[in-house]
Amino acid sequence: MRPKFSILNVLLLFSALAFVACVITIVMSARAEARFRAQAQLSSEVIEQLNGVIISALNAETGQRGYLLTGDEAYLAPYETGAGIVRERIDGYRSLIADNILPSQAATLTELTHWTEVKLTELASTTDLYRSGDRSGAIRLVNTGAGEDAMGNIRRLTADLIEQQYRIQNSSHFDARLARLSVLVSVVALTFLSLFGFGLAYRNLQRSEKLDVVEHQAQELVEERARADLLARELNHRVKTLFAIVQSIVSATARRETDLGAAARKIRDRVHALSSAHSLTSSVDMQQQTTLAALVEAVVASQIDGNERFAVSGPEIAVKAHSVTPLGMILHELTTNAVKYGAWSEDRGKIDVTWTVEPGADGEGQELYINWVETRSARTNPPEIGADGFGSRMIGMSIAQLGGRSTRNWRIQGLNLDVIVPLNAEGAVSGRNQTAT
Amino acid sequence: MLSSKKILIVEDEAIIAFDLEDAVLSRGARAAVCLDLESALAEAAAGDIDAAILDYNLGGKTVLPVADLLQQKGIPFVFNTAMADFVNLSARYDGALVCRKPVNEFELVEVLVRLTGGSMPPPPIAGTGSGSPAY
Repeated sequence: MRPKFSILNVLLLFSALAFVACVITIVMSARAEARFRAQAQLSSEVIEQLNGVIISALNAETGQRGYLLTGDEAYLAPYETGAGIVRERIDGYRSLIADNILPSQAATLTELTHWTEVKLTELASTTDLYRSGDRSGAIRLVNTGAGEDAMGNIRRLTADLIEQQYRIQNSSHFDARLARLSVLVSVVALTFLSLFGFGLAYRNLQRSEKLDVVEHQAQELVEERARADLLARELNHRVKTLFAIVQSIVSATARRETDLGAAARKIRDRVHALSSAHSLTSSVDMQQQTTLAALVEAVVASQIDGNERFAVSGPEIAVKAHSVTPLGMILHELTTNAVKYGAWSEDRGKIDVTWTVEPGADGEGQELYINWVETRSARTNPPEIGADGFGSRMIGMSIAQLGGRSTRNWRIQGLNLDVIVPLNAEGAVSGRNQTAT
Repeated sequence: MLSSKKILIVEDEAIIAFDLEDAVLSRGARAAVCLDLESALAEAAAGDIDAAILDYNLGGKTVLPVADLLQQKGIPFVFNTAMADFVNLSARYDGALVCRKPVNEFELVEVLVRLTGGSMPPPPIAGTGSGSPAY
């Protein structure tokens, strides 16, 4: 589960809007820039036309003056050319600004057109008078100053239009600069937005990684807790069962003894054997197991000094914790019997314990054959196991608990007993009752 | 008295089964000892038993199928368990008695006598238990 970052959501929405605004600004700026360039192109053409008006008007006037002064027809050519070009330039200017003409431009243009026509009319009148021979009339007309006035107005009006054009151009230039500034601001804003976005993404990544770690740890804690609870219950169960076993050893032993000392000794030996066997699996780990060799060493070998009176051989066989009590009690009762009546009751008697793994008698699985062989020097019939009845019943019942059986081979040298117990799928002594818990 | 009564003992730990059998036999009763669920079910089905002592946990399996069968046949029984959830057992089997391991022999015999409708036998050996069964 991820918490909702409502503030972050608002910020993200804001960022998205800002991004869109920046894009729009950049597009509009590009268009403003394009407009500025078009305007600059137009302005230069407009100014060229307006300069053309002045120059061609001056050319026409210069031609007129030259003709009037010299009477040389050659001066008429620049006059006529200039007079024609003036109109072309004015028409050119008009058509250039026709699309976006300002009222002030329109007014000035009307005036300029008027004064141009006045000037051209004055020029045409004077040259016509001169050509017809009225030289003094022509000079008089010039001297009225009307032409001069018209020329002055043309200069003034043209300069005014150029000035107006510059103003338009400047305002367009201002727009373009504003647009460039907008683009700059947008780029900076986009950069910051990108950084912010990357930062946010990085932070979310970090946060989600942290959350994953925390969730994982929480899950581990829950599992650990469950394991600990299970272990505690299992341990509690085991302790109570062990107390019950010890209590049973005490009461079953005491029932058969009239002598308190003998009862105490047997109880102590049996509890000690149980304790030795259990110390091999004393860990609280429920999967704990030991080996048959370790069990034999703890319960049997510890009861005799010297290797020459005891021999053990067999492959490594695992013994599950819950099978340790019955197997340990079997080995203990056999040992006790040997010490009391069998091979170890004599100085030179020997015990051989060997085990092998054989296919199951019922054709399924495997069975463990534990062969317990006592060799005595005395050639007398050995007594039955456990004269008080405890040992034989204990052994019989423990074998039953393991789901096994026993075969006793009669030998004059001593006990020869096969204890046969089933092995589980892993080849361990597990008992017939045990499920995989 | 428990004499001539037959007691089914279901217990997967050999030495405890051994001791319980001793305790029952010493009161003049007969005993059928079962160390696993399958033999216990067979013995309960045979039906010539007067009462039963049931260990709850049989090597990872529960003894409940045996308890169900006994209840069906009207044979009284007492649980003998190291498990803590005896309240559930009492509820499931209508006030069935539950002794907690390790059980006091005398308490257990007292319960068996009550279940089989007999009278209290004298303790066979010296020493008395204290407390009362946990029901």
